[in-house]
This record gives sequence, C-alpha cells and structure tokens, in this order.
Amino acid sequence: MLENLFLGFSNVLSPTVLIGLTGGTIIGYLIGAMPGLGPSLGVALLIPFTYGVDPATAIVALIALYVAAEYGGAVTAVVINTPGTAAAVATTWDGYPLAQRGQAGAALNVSIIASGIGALLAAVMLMFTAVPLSEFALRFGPTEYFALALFGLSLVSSLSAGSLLKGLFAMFLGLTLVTIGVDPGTGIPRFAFSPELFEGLPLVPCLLGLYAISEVFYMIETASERPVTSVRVQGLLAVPVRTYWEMKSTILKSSLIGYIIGVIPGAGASIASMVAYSEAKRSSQDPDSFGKGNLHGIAASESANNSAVPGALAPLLALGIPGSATAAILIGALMIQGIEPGPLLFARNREIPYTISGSLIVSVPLMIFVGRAGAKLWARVADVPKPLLAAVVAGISCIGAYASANSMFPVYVMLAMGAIGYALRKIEVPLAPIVLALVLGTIMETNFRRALLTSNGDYMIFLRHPITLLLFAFAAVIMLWPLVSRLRATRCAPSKEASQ
Amino acid sequence: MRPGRHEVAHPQAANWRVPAKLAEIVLGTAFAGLALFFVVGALRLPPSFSSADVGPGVFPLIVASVTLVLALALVLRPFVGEPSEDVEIGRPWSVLGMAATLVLYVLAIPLVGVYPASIAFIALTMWCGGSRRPVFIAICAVGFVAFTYGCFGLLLQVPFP
Repeated sequence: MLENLFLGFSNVLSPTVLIGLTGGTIIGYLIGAMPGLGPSLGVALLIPFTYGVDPATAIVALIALYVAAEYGGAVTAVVINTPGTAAAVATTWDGYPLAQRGQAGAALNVSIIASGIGALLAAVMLMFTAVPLSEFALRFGPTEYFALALFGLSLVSSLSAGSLLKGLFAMFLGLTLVTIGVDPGTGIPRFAFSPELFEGLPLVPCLLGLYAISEVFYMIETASERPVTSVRVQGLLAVPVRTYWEMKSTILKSSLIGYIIGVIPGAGASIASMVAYSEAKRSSQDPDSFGKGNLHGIAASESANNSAVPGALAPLLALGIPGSATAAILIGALMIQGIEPGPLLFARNREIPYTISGSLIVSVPLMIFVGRAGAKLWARVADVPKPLLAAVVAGISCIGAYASANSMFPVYVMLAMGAIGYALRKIEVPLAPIVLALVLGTIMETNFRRALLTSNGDYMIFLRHPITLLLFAFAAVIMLWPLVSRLRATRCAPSKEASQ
Repeated sequence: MRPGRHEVAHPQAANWRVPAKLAEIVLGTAFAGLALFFVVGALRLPPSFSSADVGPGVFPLIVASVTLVLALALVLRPFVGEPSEDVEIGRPWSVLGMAATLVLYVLAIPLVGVYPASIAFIALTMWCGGSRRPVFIAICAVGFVAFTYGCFGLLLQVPFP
C-alpha cells in the first residue's frame, strides 16, 4: 500500500496534475459561491474540458472542483444568507448572524479551516477503507453486481425529497432511456433509429442537458431579480489559534460523522452537515447560542460537508456505486476516460485511486490558501449578472456536447434532455435518479443476464448468495425507510393532536 | 452588494401560472406515451438465441412497463394525492426567447461556424436575460469566443465547423 501511495503522491506532484488540481479548486470555489450552481452542474460543465487530457489529471481536476464547490457554498451562506450549495444550509444559521455583527471574516476563516481539516481527515479515512472494501468486492460475481446496482439505485428514495412516486418515475425513465443502443448480450439494436445511437445515449450531453440547460432556463426566469445585499468581509485572519483548539472535538466528531454519512449511498453532504450541526448543538455547553452566531456551528457544518465528499468517493472507487448525484456524474467522467470504477480499478488502474487519495490530501493546503487569499473575491461572485452566467453556461454546454464526439448529434441530445429536465423540474420530479439510472442501468442489465446465463436461466440464483441477499436487504431498507418514517409520522400526528 | 449594475431595472413581466393538476396530467400523459412506445418496441424485439438468456427485449419491457405505470400514476396523482403547488414560469417570453435562441444557435453552428454563431448566441441570450448594455454584451460575447477558441480550438484541438 505504501508503494501505491508513493505512486499516487508522485502523480499528484507532476505539473499537469497540479495544474488540474489548482484549476479545479478555483473553478470549484467560483461554482460553489454562485447560488444555484452546485457541484453536480460544475462537474458536468468541466467534463468537456477534460477530453484528451490524461485520466489522472482529468479526475483530479473534477474531484478538486467537487471538494472546493462544497466549501464555496459557505461563502454566500455567510455573506448573503443564501447557501451556494444545499450542504451549506446549516452554515447560514451561524454564519450570517456573525456577518451581521461585522465578523464575516472570522466566520469565513473558521469555515475554510474546518473544511480543510474535515477534507484531510476524510481523505486519510478513504485510503484506509476503500482498499479493504475493494478487496472484499473482488469476490463478487454477477448476482452481487446486480444487487449492488440495485442497492445504488435504492438511494433514489433519499434523492426524492418530495414525492417517492416522482423519484421512482425519474429512475425508471432513466432505466428506460439506458436501453437505447445495441443490446450488450446479442448485438441487436434496440430503439436505435440512427447509427449514432448504437452506443446508447451519450452520457455527457445527457448530463449537460439535464443539469446545465434546465438551470439556464431557471436563470432566465429569475434574471431580473435584484441581487440581495451582502456584508463586507473584514478581519479574515482575526481568529486566534486558541479558538480552533477549543473546537477540536467538534471538528473531529463532525468529520467522522460526515465521512460515515458520505459513504452511505444517497445520504450525502447535506444530511452530513445537518447531523453534525445537531450533534454539536446537543453536546454543547451553550446550545442556546447556536443559530445566533456560534463558531462551533459553522465548524461542525463545514467539516462534515467537506468530509462527506471523500466518503462518497469510497463506494465509487471500491464498488463502482455512487454515494451522491455528483459521484454518479464522476462515474460518467471516469467511463469517458476508459476507466471502470469498482474493485478491478485497484488492480487494473491502481494509479487512479491512489492519485485521487493523494490529491485530496495535497488539495487541503491549496484549498485553504485559495480560500483565504480569494475570500473577498468569492464573496463577490454572487454579483455576476445572471444573463451573463446563463449565456456562458448554455454556450459551454453546447460546445462541450459537440466536442464530446466532434458531431452535432450530441448537441441535439443535450437540447432534448434539457427540455425534459426543465419540464420535469417544473413538476418537482428530481433529476438525480435519472443520472443514477443512466450510470447504473447497464451494469444492472448486463449482470442480471450474465447471472441467468451462468445458472441456465434459474432465477433462484439471486437467492443463493449471502452477499447478494444482504445487498437486497440493504436496498429494501434504504428504499422503504422514508415510507416507514412517513407512516410513523402520520400515525404520531393524530395522537399528538389528541393529547393536546 | 450593489444592485445589478449590468441589468436594466425593467418591470417584471407577468408570470405564467399553470395549475399543478394540468401540468402533471399533460407531462404524465406525454411520458406515458413515450413509455408505451418503448413497451411496443421491446415486444417487437426478437427472442434470445440462447434458452438461458432472457433476450434483448425483457429488460426494456420490464423497465418501460414500470415507467408507463408510474407515468399513469402521475396523471392520476392530482385526483387522489396531496395537491402540488401550481407551476409558475417567471418571465415567460424571455424563457421562450431563450429556447428559440438555443434552437437557432444549434441550427446555425453547421451553417455559419461555431464562433460567429456563438457571438450572436451570447448576445441574444444576455438580451433575453434582461441585459441592455450593448458594449457590455459585445465584450462578453467576444470574450466568450476567445475563451472557447483558446480552450477547445487551441488546447484541445476540437475541429469545429
């Protein structure tokens, strides 16, 4: 392992990878600091810039963007009371009250340092958990892979914030669309009316359409809204080391919470920051000060949401299962580079996971430096006029879709997916399950059929393997948990009303 | 933050409000039609050559059938489930203008080339978004083309039309 780690670090310190790391970090800050543009859209937009770039540089740049965007969300959370990403909601609760008292610099400083420590600790945990997980997964056969894909798709229930019906509809729509193309088993074209569709719907144009083009229409809808008033950033360096020392247990505990929640498919950075914030408040000697400008609240939220990113990378690298919507897009990016994530990644392309781990560690001082040096700039990013932002996002999406195959066909696909994405968002159908299905659908079908081939068509093969059964059980629990919680809540509601 | 310096403070156009029931019925029906198309297509696919393989049509048939059922459930949901919030489209004429601009841009790329088309596209999109400063729009359009030429044309050497 030490030899592989050395290989990873030496890759990270090569000039091209360092450029990718720095570029990804800066773009990530910019994307995260713009309300409305989250890490998913940022990663999807950056993918076209990685065509022709070597896989290590491309993946490091994309992951650096993912990590920095999670931090960037804290900037607008503090200065304009609007979280740049969903995971920074808890940061607004204490960040903005501090900013109103003229302590925006202190709030930003704590959020940067806590984010950095969280990301660093989680990167170390990633190295020590991903490898054993991948070694364990090497025993998997087709039934386990089918169950694993099903397990990955089960996170649809947690990605469907409003209605489970709409989340399931989105997932099955994605699974239906993924059947377009030549059948992997027999070579017969399915729903492919043009030769361009023989390889299936191109993934990057689909992602750009769903995330970027649909967002462009939302930007146009709200373009004339006046920007909110931000506060001035003063005293960025005015937080004594003693303050951080006092917060050490909060940061350590929140980082651990963030990593564990990040590993669970679908839970992600948003839930991690909320849970860590609640835990920090519960264990605090002064819980009443939370929500009124307590630095511990910012540290808990930020260390947790940043440590959730390496957490989400663990199942991605070791099992090929995304831990979040952004991780699903990253799987697409890896596939474009000809790299298949999963247990064999550690055998076939071992430089990739170790370079990623190394880059996460090297990116921490870089993230802290860039974050602190550019704090005033990040705070002004939300000032970028929306018409300009919409034009740039739409333009890069079209050009990026064209560049994915040097053809206009992917651009037409992107437009169609953009229209579908906008329409679905209007009726509150989540888009993340479609992306998840586009990524996992082929794995699911291929292994389902492979399992039946090995068992001579006997469906009982899916019930004979203990790991398969365990994964089915996990999938069922994850899928049904929101329904059970909702049922319990509706049962409790009348009894509470009666007692009142 | 100063109020948007680059945008003209013009009065907000009336938003379009579509009842949630209507939106879910229309979109649910459209997606049910799409799913039905896949179901019919899957039924027409040939059977497998091997008795152990389920064949190319089974997986699409299963997932498209479930999609069809869920799309129909979306159509029926407004009548039996909790009512959703009405669908609101802000600045509808600008959104339609943006959609038209996007389609025209995609059609124009093979005809006039990506860079001239991009200049017009950026300018029109910013105008649709409410920007009314010609010099600023021109700088942004030229800047965008220079950026894309540098990244995609020179560095990645993408052969654009």
